[in-house]
Amino acid sequence: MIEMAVRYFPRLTESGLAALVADIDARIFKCLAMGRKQRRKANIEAGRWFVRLQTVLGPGKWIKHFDEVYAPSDINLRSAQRWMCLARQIDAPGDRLSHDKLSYFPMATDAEAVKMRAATEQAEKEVGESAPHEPKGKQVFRFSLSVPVSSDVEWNAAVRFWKSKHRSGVVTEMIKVFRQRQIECGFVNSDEDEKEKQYEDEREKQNEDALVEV
Amino acid sequence: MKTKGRNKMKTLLLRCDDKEEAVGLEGQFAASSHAGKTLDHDTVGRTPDTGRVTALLLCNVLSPELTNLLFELCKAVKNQPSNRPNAMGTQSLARSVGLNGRPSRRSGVNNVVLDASPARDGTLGYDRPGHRTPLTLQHREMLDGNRRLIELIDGLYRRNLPDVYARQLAALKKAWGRLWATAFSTGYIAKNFRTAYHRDGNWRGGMTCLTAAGDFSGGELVLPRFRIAFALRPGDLLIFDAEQVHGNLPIKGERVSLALYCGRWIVGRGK
Repeated sequence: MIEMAVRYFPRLTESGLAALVADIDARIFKCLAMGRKQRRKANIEAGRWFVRLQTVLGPGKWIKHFDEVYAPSDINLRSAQRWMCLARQIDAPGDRLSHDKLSYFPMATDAEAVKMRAATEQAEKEVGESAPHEPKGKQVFRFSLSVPVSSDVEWNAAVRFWKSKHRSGVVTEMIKVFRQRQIECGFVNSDEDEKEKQYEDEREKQNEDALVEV
Repeated sequence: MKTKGRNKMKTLLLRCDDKEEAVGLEGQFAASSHAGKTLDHDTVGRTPDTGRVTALLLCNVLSPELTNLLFELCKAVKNQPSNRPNAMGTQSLARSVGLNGRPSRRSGVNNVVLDASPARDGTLGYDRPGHRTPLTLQHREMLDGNRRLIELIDGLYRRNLPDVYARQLAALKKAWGRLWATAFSTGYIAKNFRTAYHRDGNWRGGMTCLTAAGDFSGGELVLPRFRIAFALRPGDLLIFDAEQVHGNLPIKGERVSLALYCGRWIVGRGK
């Protein structure tokens, strides 16, 4: 078989050809070992190398080599031939036969599909270039207080006040009163905040000391 | 409408089966070369091994008045399909990038992609047990006006695929969310929506009934696994397994399609 191939490729020596065939075999096995997610890509690539093998060893002759090398690994000749057809179709789409039913789905090239693909690429670029999210801060719960209003005049005044710039100051004052009352009634321990502050100060001091030592 | 027994139903054995390749196509747009056959007559597609019906095309079974009414009532849908990245032929990304340069925390179809597409959609009926969709509440006429059409489709489904229909009806009877006395819980309206290959998350034991209305050409539904396409015209009804990967060819003109199905979330979570 190799003698025949040497006749086809006179510049190749017998050992050179054997090395070439071994290289192709290695590449095919590498393709076949690719993961399930890359199966289609791997099949096409294996098909290309089988075509190359066929060219090197000669039509018909490569099947003997296939039986020796690939058949023991449970690789079907028909599968290899399908992969070869697939590779040929992708490399030369014009040669596609009308009756073939190979699993080849070319990409849609109509205007809408192209437009949508371009839009997706643009969106990916925009999102990719944008800054990452800020880490979420401490969660703040908002507690709503209902204020009874007895007349329309009071209601209008309250609405006008709520829309004015004085609102923020009142909200701060109300929060203060609310917290003070909570402490007075014993629902919140007033020392807790101070303790937390002390603990944080101590930790900062410790860190600073550690840095000075280094 | 077609008279009874005018055309004999043809049976197509779906011998070609590119299951793995079809799954890998999700999110890509359909091309006419993906389908070896385009069907435009009464056909039932069966798998050769089990004989299970995968798709059933019934031509000219719905009257022009009903399909015209469907078009007139449902052409007002204006929601952008922002939660269907696969069907839009894109991937799930941040919806937008804010003025501060940070991406939105909500993911789905990006605004750039949405603006590039003419597709609009809306959901009628129930989206979860006992909960009507916002479109149903806002545009009651869209559902009520198409009641005759929906009941007619239900009758055709019952007559042509009695086993599947009975199973779907039995499942839906236990749930709270049924469109009148039909075997459907939800209707999905798509306007000028040329979908990329996708699978629908409907109840797996049932089938989806699809009809189209409007003045359009193209928009054939392609099932790449079996390499077939269905040329759906106004008045036709396609009953198919939406669990199979499917997508549309480009649409010319104005088209409104209505897909009636039994929602997975209505019957039971994840079933």
